[in-house]
Amino acid sequence: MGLAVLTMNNMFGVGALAQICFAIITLLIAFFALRIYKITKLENYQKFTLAFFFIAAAYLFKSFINLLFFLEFLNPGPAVETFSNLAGLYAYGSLVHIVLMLLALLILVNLILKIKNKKVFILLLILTFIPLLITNFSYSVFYLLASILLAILVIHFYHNYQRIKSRGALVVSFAFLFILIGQILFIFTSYTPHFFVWGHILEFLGYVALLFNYIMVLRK
Amino acid sequence: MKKRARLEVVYDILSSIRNKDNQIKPTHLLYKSNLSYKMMQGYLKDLMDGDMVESNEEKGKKHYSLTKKGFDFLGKYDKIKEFTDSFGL
Repeated sequence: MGLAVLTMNNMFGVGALAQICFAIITLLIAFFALRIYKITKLENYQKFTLAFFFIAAAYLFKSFINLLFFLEFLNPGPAVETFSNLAGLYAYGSLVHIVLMLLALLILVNLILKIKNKKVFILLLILTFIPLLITNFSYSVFYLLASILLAILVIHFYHNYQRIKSRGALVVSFAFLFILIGQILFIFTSYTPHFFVWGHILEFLGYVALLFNYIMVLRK
Repeated sequence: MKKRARLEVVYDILSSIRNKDNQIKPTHLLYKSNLSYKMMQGYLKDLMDGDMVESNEEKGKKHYSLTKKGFDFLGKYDKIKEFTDSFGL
């Protein structure tokens, strides 16, 4: 039991730390895109900025919830009351995380598919959120939906690399590929906990690759 | 001939102005930017709205010149291009 609590505690602590790192990386990218948008006033950069701000906010929410769990395991309060409070917070935090992340991915898909018609975007929004509503915002369904949207993004980034043949485009393709495989592994976490660990490692590699690309851009 | 992306057209317009000692006549700009008159007017309006280009008149003749923001854009163009290319924006 003690070992289980310790493992859970570490899991929440490491999870919170990783999510704060992801939020910082995506915020850096969002602010860079915002600076370009302010100069060029091009809609592409506006959408890209918004999407990356949503991703950062999604990770900040998730890390906040994980941090609460981590602190609670360090200094447990009255068990029953704490559990019901935390369970409620976890549910709300997860809901916000899921909604923000899917909105971000939808905006990115909307951007790369060059969808100009708002009605099509609204249709995509409805089609994405209905399965979540039906399944009471289940994490497996969220990972499945996120994987589909990420797969579209990976195909775009791969085609972009084929067209541009630059190191940056290759790094971004791999970054999103790692994040996609991570999400696919998360779908099957209930079958084996190893997938959960590998999913997080791949997600981490993906964001490190995005950070690497950001640094390469700044060094230009 | 490959169609230029909007970002490249903006770069071409701004660098054309800079290369003419930061003062270019509309007819010169039209020739240098390789755009139709209507398209160039659209780009110039956006660039003036974005405070990157300003128009001024000297002896009844109109000129365009870069603002500080326009020079800033040219200085950061390599970074912007690398970022744009890496994400395929």
